[in-house]
Amino acid sequence: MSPTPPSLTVIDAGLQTTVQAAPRRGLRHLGVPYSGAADPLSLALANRLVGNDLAAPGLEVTLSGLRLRTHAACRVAVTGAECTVLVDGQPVALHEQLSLEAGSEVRMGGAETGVRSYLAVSGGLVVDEVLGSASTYLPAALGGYRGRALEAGDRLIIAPAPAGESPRQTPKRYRPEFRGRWSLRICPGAEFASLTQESRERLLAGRYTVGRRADRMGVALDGVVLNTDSTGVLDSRPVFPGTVQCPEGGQALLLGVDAQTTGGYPRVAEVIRADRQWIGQLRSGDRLRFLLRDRKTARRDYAAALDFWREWLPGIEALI
Amino acid sequence: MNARKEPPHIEAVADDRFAVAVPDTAAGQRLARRLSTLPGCIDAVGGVAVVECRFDVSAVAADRFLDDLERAVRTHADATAEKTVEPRGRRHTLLVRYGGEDGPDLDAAARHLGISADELIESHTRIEHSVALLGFTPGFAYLDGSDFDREVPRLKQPRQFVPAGSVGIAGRRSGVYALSGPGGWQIIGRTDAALFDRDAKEPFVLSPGDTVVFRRADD
Repeated sequence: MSPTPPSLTVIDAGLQTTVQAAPRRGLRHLGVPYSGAADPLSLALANRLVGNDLAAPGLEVTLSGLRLRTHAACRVAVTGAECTVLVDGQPVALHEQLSLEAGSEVRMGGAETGVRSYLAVSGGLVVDEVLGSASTYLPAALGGYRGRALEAGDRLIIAPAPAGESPRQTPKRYRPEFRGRWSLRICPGAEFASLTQESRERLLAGRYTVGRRADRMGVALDGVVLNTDSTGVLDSRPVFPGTVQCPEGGQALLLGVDAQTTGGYPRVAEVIRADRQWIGQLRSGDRLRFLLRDRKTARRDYAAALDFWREWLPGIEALI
Repeated sequence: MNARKEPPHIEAVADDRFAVAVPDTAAGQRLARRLSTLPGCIDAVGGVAVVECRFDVSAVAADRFLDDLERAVRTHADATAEKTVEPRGRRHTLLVRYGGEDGPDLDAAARHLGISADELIESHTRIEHSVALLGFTPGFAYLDGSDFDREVPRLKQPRQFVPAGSVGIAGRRSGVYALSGPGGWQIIGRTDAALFDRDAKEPFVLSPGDTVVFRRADD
C-alpha cells in the first residue's frame, strides 16, 4: 500500500473558497476568460513565503473565512485581505511563513477590509490543469477542485514541498493594504466618445461607491450615472478585465478576472494594466474614483510597478 | 489626441490594446489567427467588425508592436486579396430536443417572431447555420444564417445557469453553449452532442467557418 499523500481537509469553506493559480492567457478568442486569482499579487506573495512558484495553486478565500485541518507537517502563509488567522486557537500574522504540524487546525476569519485572502501551502495544491491552468472558473465548472467551490469535507492533496529555505515574512513595503478608498488610473475606452459631454466629465470627477454586485466577473459602480448616445446593445466587441462598460441604465460595470470575452455595451474606459490587480479587492461600499492617464504614461506606470514588484517577486509579469 | 502615424484602421483602445477594423466577422476571425502569432501578443480577439490585440507591455514596446501589427494587417490583406478559395470549415449535424425543460423559451421566442413553435423548429432545422465566432463564455458559438424577419429580444433577466449543450436565439442569431454558464439568450432546445474535449488540441468542437445543421432529436 502506498503511503497517503500529504493533504488538507476543509472543515468549513465559508462563502466561496476556490483553488486559484495562473490566468488562462491566449484563449479569449475561444471565449475562455482569464480566470485565475482575483488578486494575483496576493497569491504570489503567499507562494513566495512558502517557496513555491508564484502561480502555484493556492486557496482564494472570499469575505467570510475558512477552516481547515492539515494531515501532514507543512509550511503555509496567508496574505491578501486583512483577517484574523488562528492556528490551533493561537493568533498568527498575515505575511508570515507558518510551520504547521500534522493535525493543526487553521481558522481564517472574515475579511475586515478588502475581499479576498489567500492561503498558500508549500508544494502547492494538486489539481488538474484544464485549458492550461489549475485555476477554477466556476460558471463553466472548469479547473480547480472538481470545477467548483470547496465544501466541508473536501480533501486537497499537497504536492511535495520544494527544497530549500523561503523567506520568513514579506517585507513591509510589499504588503498591500486595502483601506476601502481607491484611485484607479484609466485610459479612455474605445467608445469613450459615445459618452455625452457631461458624462465624460462625470466619469472623471465622479465619486463612485462599489455596488452590491462585486464578484469575480465584475464590480458595479454606484453613485454616478453615465449617459451615452448609443441606442440599445452594440454588436459584440472584445472586453477584458479592466474594461469599464456602460449599460443602458448608466451604472458603470468594471470587469474582473472572470469577465466574459465579448460584450455589447459601450466600453467607456479601461483601467490601466498597472492597476488591474486591485480590482479583485474592491468591496461593496468601498469608495472609488478614476484618474485619467494617457496611454504612454500608463505604460510607464506599469513598467514602474514591475520594477518595484519584480525585486521581491521575480516573474510577476506573468500574473499582473 | 492621436495624431501620430497610426493609419485610420488601427486604433489604440487601452494602454495595452489595439483595435483593427475589419469588413466582416469572418475576415476578423482569420486576421485574429494571424495576429495571435505576433511577438508579444497575449490575445487577439475577433468581435463583430473588429479584431483587438492585447499585447504584453513587459515584453514588447508599444511602438514596436504597432509596427509589427500594421505590417501584419497589410500583408494579411494582400494575401487575402490574392486568394480566391476560402478554406472550408467542417460540417456538424446536432440533434436537438426542442422545447420543454430543454428549451424553456421556445414558445416565448416563437411568439416574438409571430409564428408557432413548430414553425420555429421547422425554420431552425431547415437552415444551414455557419459559426461566426466563439465568445462571451468558453466555446459559446454565435451562429449566422437564421432567416427570422424580426429580432428576438434577450431575456430581461439573464439566467445564472444555462446547461451545456443548450441552443438559444437572440437578435437574428443562434447560439450554442459548449459549457454551462450564465446567459440571456432565449433557450429553445438542447443537444447531447459533445462540444468540449478538455484534452484535445482544439478543445471546442465548433469553430468559426464551420457549418451547423440542427435536427430534431426525436425525428
